[in-house]
Amino acid sequence: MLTGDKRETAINIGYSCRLIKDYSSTIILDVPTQAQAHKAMNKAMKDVMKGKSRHVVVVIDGATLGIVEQSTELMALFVELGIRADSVICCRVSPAQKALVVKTVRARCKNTVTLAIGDGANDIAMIQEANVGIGITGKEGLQAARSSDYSIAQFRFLERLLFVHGRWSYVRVSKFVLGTFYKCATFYLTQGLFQIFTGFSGTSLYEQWTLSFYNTLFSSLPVMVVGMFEQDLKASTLLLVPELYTFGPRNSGFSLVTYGTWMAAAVYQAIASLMVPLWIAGAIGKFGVEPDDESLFPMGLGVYTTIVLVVTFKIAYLETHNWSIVTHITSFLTILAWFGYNTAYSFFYPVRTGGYHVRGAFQSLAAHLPFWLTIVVASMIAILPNIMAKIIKAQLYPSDVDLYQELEKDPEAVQRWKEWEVELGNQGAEAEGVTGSKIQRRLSIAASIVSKHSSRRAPSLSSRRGRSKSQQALDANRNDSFLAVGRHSQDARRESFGEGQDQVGDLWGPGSHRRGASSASQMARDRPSRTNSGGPRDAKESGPWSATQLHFPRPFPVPADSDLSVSSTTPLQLGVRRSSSAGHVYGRGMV
Amino acid sequence: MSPDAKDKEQLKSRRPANTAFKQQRLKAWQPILTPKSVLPAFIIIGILFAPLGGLLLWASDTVAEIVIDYTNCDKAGTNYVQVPSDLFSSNFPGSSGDGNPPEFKAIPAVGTFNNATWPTMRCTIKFDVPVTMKHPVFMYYRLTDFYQNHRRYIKSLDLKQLAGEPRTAMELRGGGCEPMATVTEGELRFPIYPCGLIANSIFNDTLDITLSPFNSPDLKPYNMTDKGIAWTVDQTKYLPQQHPDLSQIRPPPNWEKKYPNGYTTSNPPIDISKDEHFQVWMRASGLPNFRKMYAKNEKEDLPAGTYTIDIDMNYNMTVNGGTKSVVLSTVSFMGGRNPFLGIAYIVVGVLCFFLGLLFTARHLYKPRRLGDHTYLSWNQNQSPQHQRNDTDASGGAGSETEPEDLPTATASGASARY
Repeated sequence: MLTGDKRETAINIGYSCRLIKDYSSTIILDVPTQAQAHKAMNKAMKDVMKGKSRHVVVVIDGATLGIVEQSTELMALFVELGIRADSVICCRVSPAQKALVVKTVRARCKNTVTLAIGDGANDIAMIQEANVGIGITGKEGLQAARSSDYSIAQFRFLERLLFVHGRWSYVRVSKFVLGTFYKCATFYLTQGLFQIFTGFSGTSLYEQWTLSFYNTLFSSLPVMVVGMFEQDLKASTLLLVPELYTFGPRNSGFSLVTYGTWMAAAVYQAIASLMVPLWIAGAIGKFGVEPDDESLFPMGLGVYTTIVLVVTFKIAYLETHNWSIVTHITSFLTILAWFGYNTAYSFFYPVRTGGYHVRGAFQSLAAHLPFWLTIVVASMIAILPNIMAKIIKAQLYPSDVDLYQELEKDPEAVQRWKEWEVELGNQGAEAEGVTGSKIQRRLSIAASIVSKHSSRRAPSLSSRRGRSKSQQALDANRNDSFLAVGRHSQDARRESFGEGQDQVGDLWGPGSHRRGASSASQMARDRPSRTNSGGPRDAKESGPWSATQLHFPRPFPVPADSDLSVSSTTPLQLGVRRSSSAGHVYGRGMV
Repeated sequence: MSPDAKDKEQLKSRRPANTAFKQQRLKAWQPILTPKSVLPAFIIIGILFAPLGGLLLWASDTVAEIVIDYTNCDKAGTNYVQVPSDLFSSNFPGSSGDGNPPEFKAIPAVGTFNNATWPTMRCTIKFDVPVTMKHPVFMYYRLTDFYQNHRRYIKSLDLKQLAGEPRTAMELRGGGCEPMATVTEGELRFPIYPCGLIANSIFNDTLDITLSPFNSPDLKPYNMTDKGIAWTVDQTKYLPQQHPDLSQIRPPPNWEKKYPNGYTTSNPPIDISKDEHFQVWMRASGLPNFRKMYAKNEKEDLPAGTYTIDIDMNYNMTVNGGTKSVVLSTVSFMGGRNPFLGIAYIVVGVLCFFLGLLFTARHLYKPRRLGDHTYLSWNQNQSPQHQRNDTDASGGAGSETEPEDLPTATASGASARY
């Protein structure tokens, strides 16, 4: 978070928007000289790398940043530290410094995409510097929105922008590009392969105008529809499961492997579309059975028709998930255009032509049953292996998208999701700011739902066979241990304080789940009362930061309930700032 | 108007309409490929295609056909020799055998055309027709390794000339007919009619379109006609030249046997609108092995018996290493003999059926539960006890073990996750 506010305000806002958590350890960099900055950051880096804290926040203010940015080495060190931390708060930074931070991060992490969002004129530099700049229209005017790549009206719309529209856009563009390359490759490969039969002299299998219209009339609509309307998962699913967003950063939609797969399909389908009709026409083999009219154009018609059918089906139906009315209309139009074009051609093409005897060709071919039979079998041979490969992959190596597409069809899962959404809606603004990240909220809601559904423990999605008793016991454990995760984060102050460092630090380790399992059911019962409470923000309690005191040995003891002042004599302060206004939700962009 | 209403009127909302199309809520079918839905389809395709293929194969078998390669007939000698078994193929449905293998012989003879004569070898092929060939009966000649689809060959004609327009040597020079466009005699250039490689290379073996019965006095000669063998469209494509100046045009070089003195009033150029062999030939084939119709008889059946056919061997195929054959064939409701269509359907049907069965078996043996969470990418790389096989509460949310992990996981510098 880069802000022009002073440190306390920034940290308070950090708490209220859960950038800093109850159990975070905060590293505050506030040094006057380069040498000290060097020392402080090195020490901070060492502490971070020790891995004792579960959540690290680095706070730096504008003056310190000004010192750091004077030396490239220090700036690099700062960025390294920032990358390894979970959150970074830069307070009191000027617009130029905001842009500088973004620029340095971009330079350091060349393969990542940076996003900057802001609502004021002082964010313009940063917005323009990042890969994706988002401006929020509203209270501070429209300057940020004007200079941004995308503008939204409220900060909370960012979630939908990224998870739903960003992801859909990525999927659509990927499929569009892949589909475009694929359709052209398939078509022109048949031309290339046909040269085997022409002595490699360069005779085109297709008549010139028909050939030129392939890209515009006979294959453009399906691929455009994919690029505009494809939805690989529902919006509600994407919002509920943020992990699905990793599809984009992992380049799952478009990579060399994906491209190679589509091209392999293109090669195979070109071979099938060309060779099957030609083989049936007797082109291959000693005693062929050539049809009455095997001149170029009718032969080309058979191959071309197969290609149009196969390419349309693959792009519009096989490789997409969202078959809407637009899909059906455009596919129908494409195929209608193909046959209509050929009918018109057959009636109106000039009689006197060389090479391609078009006039009357389609009419006689269409009346000839073997033509249609050939088209059908050639299309089948071209497309069925593709379908088979897709099923095998979806069954044996399902991707996240495959799994969630399946879950979207499962009424029980959908029902659960609806309940979650309702609960999330009920929690409202307070929940967003107070009780924690979306995932934590999900955990708490899940717990309440589990306790409701605990009688209905029968596996809803799986088959009932193969579940041994021990496995079921383990499953029960796991159920609870899942809840223990949320529990730990909320109860860190209670449990870890007494039980010591190893439990919290061991949270993700092998032991935690089993240990946590015992009181998970208790937690489930406790859950409703705690969900909407002020939680750790309550100033009276000892506070979660005391947990972190165990991890980060402090240079001198600090009373738990006093504010740590900025002007402390020690240059480097480790510790967590406690908010004096617990539970307060700040209005700055937070809803 | 009240100030409020006026304000509202001026403040036009830029919010997109809340229609299904604009809000991307179009009703859509979102099917997933599950074994339960697709495998039955495969098996059904298999069950549909295989018998269909069988039917097509049967239909193709009802076509009676005999193909005899006579390229080397001129070396056969003056007595009948048996045609080697790899040089002929026959299919006669409903007969116990295919009859005796064909035999051929060749005797020197004289070919004639409009007062022109030239020595040639006359090949006589004797073949058996064990069962009656039902009408219509077609006679084709079949050439192999003849690349009529070569790029330069297929363009090698002049449409205007073929449409009846007189064309001068200057007009044809450098055009599509090259190198078969003009003939130079001394210092003069004369246009070739018809110009181009296609016309020049016309198939000029003369097949006797009457099949003479051999040693069967009760069989009549079977007459076939060479009218109506070309496409009706082709017959409007070609028009003869009106009153051409015969001294100004020359026949193509390969036609010199028929026109030893060029075009004369006693030996005028062919009427291309009526010479259907020419029209059939001009329709260049798209494949190097092709057959072109030579004659047909749509009214009478060909009774069973032994027949001979005479062929004047004027056409040189040994130059390009190809072969020439004569084909006699009937048709079925599916057209000529084509077993490949049936074979393709049977292969597809059988493969689909067995793949469907195979995959169904594997699916039944070790099914993957739909929506199984253990396959989620963020549930991988965990020790086995953390794998979640069956959790109700985790419904659709995936693993909850690493909540803070993902947004920073992809930063290239991120490391030391807790």
